[in-house]
Amino acid sequence: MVHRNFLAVSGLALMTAVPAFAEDTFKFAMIDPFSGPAAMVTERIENVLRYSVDEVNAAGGINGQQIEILTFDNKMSPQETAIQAEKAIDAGARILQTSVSSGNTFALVDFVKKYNRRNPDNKVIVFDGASHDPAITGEKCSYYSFSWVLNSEMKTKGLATYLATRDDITKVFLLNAEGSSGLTTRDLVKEMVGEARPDIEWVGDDIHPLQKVTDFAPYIAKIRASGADAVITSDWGADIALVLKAAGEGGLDIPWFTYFTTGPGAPTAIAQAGLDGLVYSAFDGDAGIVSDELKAFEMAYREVTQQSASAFPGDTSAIRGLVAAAAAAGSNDADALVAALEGISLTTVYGAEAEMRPDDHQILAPMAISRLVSVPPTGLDEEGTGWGWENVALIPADQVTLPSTCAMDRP
Amino acid sequence: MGIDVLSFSILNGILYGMLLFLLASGLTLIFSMMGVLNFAHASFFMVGAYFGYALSGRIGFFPALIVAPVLVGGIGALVERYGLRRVHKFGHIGELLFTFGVAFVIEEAIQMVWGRSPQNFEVPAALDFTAFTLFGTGYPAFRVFMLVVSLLIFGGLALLLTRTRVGLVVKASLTHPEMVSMLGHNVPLVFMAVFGVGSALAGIAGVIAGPLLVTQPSMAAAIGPILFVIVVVGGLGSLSGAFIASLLVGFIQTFAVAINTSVADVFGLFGIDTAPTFLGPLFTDIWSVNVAQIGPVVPYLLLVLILLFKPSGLIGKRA
Repeated sequence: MVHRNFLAVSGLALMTAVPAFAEDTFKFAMIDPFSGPAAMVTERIENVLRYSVDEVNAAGGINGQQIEILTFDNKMSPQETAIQAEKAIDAGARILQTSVSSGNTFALVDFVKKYNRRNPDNKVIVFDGASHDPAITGEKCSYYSFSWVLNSEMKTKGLATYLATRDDITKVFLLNAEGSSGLTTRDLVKEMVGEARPDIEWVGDDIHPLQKVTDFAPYIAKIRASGADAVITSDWGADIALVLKAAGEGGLDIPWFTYFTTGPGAPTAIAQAGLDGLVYSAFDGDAGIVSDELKAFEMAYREVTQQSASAFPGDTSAIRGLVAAAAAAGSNDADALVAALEGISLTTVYGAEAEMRPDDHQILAPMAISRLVSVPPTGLDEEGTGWGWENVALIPADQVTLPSTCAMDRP
Repeated sequence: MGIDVLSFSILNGILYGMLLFLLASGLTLIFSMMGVLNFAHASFFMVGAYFGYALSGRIGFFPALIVAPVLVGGIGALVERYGLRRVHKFGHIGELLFTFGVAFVIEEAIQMVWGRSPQNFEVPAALDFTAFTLFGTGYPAFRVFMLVVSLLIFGGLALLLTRTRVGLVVKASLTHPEMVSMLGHNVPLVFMAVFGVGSALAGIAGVIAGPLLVTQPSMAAAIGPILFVIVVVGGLGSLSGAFIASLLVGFIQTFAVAINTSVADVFGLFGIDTAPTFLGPLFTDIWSVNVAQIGPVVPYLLLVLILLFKPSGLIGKRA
């Protein structure tokens, strides 16, 4: 498989070997897997980012400069992320954004820490668009990096707050993939949901291999045998799609509390499985939130891309934050921007007020618990399935905010 | 393990095993007849799923189940005629690398045509009901349909190869190509047909697995490795071996999930409850790993063991 990826990427590298960069633009580099299985996520993120940037450019850009997006393929590897970051900086990028995996984000944050120390006259900024790992604004936090989505710890806190209102759920099955993201979330769920709902009994706690299982039917049988009345899972990508399809096939009709069902493929799988109203998403937000502003944005966005923008809130927030900071700083210089970004207020794509916390550069915003239901033809559906999100609870920002654990090294 | 869990696991194991067999049958057919280990096989499976998806929207699922494999078989035949046949003279390494390249080309082509997002390939309405209910779990008719198709293919292939003239010519073409050629048979055409039929079988598996799994560009890479396990464990080139190995892998994976026993539990039987710390942190980690967690890796362990102790596989003739 390694060889296959290598071939894929060298082909792409050849195609992009002679880039033409405009001289007088503000360059924003997107360093993400543009090849391989994760490329479908990158594709969605790129669309949201480009749409947001086009809006800004049409309104005159930031301090008179147009924003230009440059894309770099990190092949889903931390080493390659650092190499591509170097290339991006050579191409003139001022902001480097990575979204898809926390391993890549760590690599980028580390690279930029070193780079900024060595090049004090040409500093760059890191944006974390969607990696969800609390360590990015915790132990790995940096003065030059900003996280634009709620991390998994905050999301779990929000989920625990919601589950405190669901007395009907008393037996929960935990299903997670191996790997740091799955295991961390599982521990967080046990701790936070356990604290909010001490009466909940964990009737199962399974760890399965990451993105390797093709048949989840045995897991469904196990969940049924455990007598669970709900499942909490941090599965994503093909895993969540397959497990929900297996649940639909097996006729397991208990609610699923998930973190990553707004992303590509999951709504399609839920609709196919016929799990109407059974799959809950604990996320920054979704198209089901009742807001005229969100609806207008979604309609306009769908007109252009035929996709939903709400699954990737980090990119709209990042661009809105950047625009506000550039206006406040009156300059596009990195140090001026960082200073202005600290504490900047913005309105998220969901129409909620959000703030970039100066202590650890973590965005603070409300979150939503929603479930996927079949919607009338006039409603906002996902992936052309005729099914869309229905919001069941909005968790205010102060309920998901956790104390900062960052010991920031400020210049 | 209760009787309900046991029966679920047996049923799930058979159903999953048969899906694997649908795929492995084409792979092992090509290998047994042509000696080519086709790395692009899982890619033909994916093409089948996408063709099935595209066609079922226009002509319905059941016509698509016929037409899509025919198209995939046609592509397979073309690949053999204009690619593999030329590479053949450079030996097996050349062929192996060629199919490896083809797999990659197919994956990129699929992404160019259908994009990277999963397609909404749905179970046909005619088969979208519960076939039977066992201990409260419904079994979907579509899976039963898959089981029936797999069995038909196994039976049909076995009959074709052992009981008909066509099978005779095909087998003779592999071992004595010149003799067969002198008897007036077109040997290159036979090879092309075998490759085409093998690819078409992968196409059938694709059309059936498309609605069951997720029709997306990574589906080939996800299922590819386990196919090689089945073909090697069953014995390279053996149809019955592939059948047994498919069921074996299906059972291993489903039963493993149902078992929660860990190293700690085994020692617990002897009254040892805590992990001995003097063996280091690695051992403490292994201590708490249960069978369910390592289940999906067991088939690969089996692959390694088979290669070490019985390289010809369970039923294979070829070493």
